[in-house]
Amino acid sequence: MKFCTVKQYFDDENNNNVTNGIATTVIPLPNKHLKIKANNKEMEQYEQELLRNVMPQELTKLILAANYLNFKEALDFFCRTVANAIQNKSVDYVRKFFGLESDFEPGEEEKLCKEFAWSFEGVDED
Amino acid sequence: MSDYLPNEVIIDILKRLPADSLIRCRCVCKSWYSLISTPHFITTHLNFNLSKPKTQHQLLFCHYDHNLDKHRITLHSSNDPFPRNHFSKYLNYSDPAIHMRLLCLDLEVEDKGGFFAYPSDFVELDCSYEPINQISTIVGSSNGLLCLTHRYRNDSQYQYLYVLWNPSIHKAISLPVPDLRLNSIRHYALSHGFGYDPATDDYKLVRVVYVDGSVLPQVEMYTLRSGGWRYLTAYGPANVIADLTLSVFMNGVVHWLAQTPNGEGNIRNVIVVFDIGHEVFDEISVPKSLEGMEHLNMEVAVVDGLLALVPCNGNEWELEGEESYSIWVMREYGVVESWTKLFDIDVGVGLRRVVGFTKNGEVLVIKGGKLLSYEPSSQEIFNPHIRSRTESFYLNTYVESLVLLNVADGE
Repeated sequence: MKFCTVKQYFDDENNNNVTNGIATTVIPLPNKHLKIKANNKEMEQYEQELLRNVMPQELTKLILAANYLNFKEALDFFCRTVANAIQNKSVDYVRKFFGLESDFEPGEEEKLCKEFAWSFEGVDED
Repeated sequence: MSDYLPNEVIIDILKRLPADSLIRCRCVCKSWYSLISTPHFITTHLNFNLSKPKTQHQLLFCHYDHNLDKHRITLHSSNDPFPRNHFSKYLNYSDPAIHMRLLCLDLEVEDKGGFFAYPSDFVELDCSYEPINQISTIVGSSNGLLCLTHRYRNDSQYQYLYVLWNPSIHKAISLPVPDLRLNSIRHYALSHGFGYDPATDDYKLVRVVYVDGSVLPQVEMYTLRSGGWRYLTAYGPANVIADLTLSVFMNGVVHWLAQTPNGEGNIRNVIVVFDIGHEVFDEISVPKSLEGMEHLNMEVAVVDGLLALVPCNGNEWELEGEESYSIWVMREYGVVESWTKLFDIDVGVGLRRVVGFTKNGEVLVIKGGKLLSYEPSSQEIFNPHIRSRTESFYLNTYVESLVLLNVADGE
């Protein structure tokens, strides 16, 4: 089933631009996964490398590709990587990571931060 | 970037975050604020946590700390909540006086204040805020939501305060006062049960009250969705569940150990059950050999996912009948013949209660106001130096969740 969707993906014109990135990273993933499956430490290192070498924008494309290909293991892996990356980070960091902007009314955000002040303790420095 | 990411993917990422990160993520933008507060996300996040491997499961432990004069609620690994090297790992083994240090370790630990004076191996939950700081008893917990109660006397009535609390999101709501007023002059027996009903995605608290020794009780129920109490017209159990009987919740059912008077002056011990979804009472028999015992001195528990009966010999001044030391489990739920005695606990005379079980097979018991860890096969006893009132100890499985996040504050 994976092979059919991959072919369809490459045929789809809109995705031509991202084909290269996907080809080098997503497609080899199952092999890599199988090789590393036994060794959690290696997987963690691979995760770290991925984070360093791949910018958030690339990561989105990888996630979208994995989602489109219905490639569960890759999607799981990427989502876990992103979750670990943003886990103890500040609200600003998370915004920048996802390319989001605050659309709260002035003062609304402050109110929220104050109400949940306890959750802001121990957050990593940006 | 997130413009392109479909909602299911954002959910797939966020569901993996701990509760405090998610509370912060609500401040990222309006759509994330809404997304994280939806029942769908709350359920997805909970189910993800429930499906984590057993090595990551946690236990919630509560006890009353006499030194600090307050209840303390802590989270521990469910595999080894009170590790044996908890104290000795602070020792310097190249110290020439190490042998003396080891011999005096017990005394040194007691002096310092016991297990919780050494900061690692547990996480303390903040319970300093209203309204939970006045609460004394945990009724039960389900999906990261704790149900607490406290009894106080107001003129000639006994009042019960009830609170639902999710420590992961630092949120607690006070429940409205139940209808049934309890006049302190009359004699009554009151017990509780708390659990989650998946059919209605609702959390329910049930209250069973026998007034003046009557055989039929008044039964009231509170549900989180309705926000209020109502009397149950379901036929209450014609047994007597003694005052303050501990309950366990499993398989969608609340269980209490009770006695049925059989009309000839004898009693029959039985487990009364309340199905929280169908809201009906029923019975499960205890092992035949225990059925007619006048003072059974046991209470219900859960061991490895099985319904169990464990020793509960009460306090020194109210002990009646023979002391109990055996752990029984019901290997097949509801099948009386499947009751099996697992083992006897040998910690000497004076075993008061069984508080819980660890995933590595040890039993946590109370003897002489102290918590002890008992290993059944080797019969080894380990003292983690935790002291409190016998009835103040509570241990149960715990999972982080966002339950209560989208419930309005107050009642």
